[in-house]
Amino acid sequence: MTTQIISELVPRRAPFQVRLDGLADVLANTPPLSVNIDSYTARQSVCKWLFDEVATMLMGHMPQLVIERQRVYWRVPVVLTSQRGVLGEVGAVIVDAQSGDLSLPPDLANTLVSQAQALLTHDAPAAHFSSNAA
Amino acid sequence: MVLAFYGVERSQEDIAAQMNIRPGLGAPASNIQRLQSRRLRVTYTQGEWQDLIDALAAGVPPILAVHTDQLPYWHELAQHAVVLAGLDGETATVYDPAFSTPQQVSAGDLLLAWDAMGNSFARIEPV
Repeated sequence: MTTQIISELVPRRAPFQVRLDGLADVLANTPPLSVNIDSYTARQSVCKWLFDEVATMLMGHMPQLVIERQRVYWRVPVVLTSQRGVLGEVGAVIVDAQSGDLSLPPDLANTLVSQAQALLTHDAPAAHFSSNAA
Repeated sequence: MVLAFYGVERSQEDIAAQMNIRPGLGAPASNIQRLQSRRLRVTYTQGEWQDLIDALAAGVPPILAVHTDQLPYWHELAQHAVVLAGLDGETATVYDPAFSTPQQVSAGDLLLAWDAMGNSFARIEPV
């Protein structure tokens, strides 16, 4: 069973605890889940990884808090951007809500880039500007 | 932009090729370190506000990774890079490649925009 809570409904500042009322039969004897990483920090970590290590036009978007059995994590959608704004979602990065660690499977960066390239084939070429600053 | 500041004449196409920039996607920003040469030292790291002040004091305009949603002169949501050219009290002057003229922004807004990207910045300086 997976329950998702959009970030606007949870406290902006970590740490906090999550208790799921109404699911007592499912989560009997389950202690409250601690969230040490807030949505801002989760998104910041993903944005930094994308920008520094993957591609400057890939951006972390609004995180969703996901509660899954004994685990709680942030799902940060990855979107392709241009100077015209957000072009579309190309994947997601998982951030452990207790440790802040990013879950980065070895093929994740290539998968995100491939999805972004596929999206670009359905859209006008987006501007790129990182070389201009240099 | 910064290379031109140092009098290094290179085309955008040449720089893009060296940084392996893919049209519409960009490149890992850390690829900027590929621009290092016998004439230029290039570092890409995480820093604090004081590091930017120190860079400016040394005559090195730092390149900042920023989130545009914190920059009032932007109307689209994107990740971006700007060159910090000066700080005057609470006002920062940035050269933004998306605009033809220098932009002035409050230091607070710029700090927020930079923080949202984890405070990454590049220094390009003559050896």
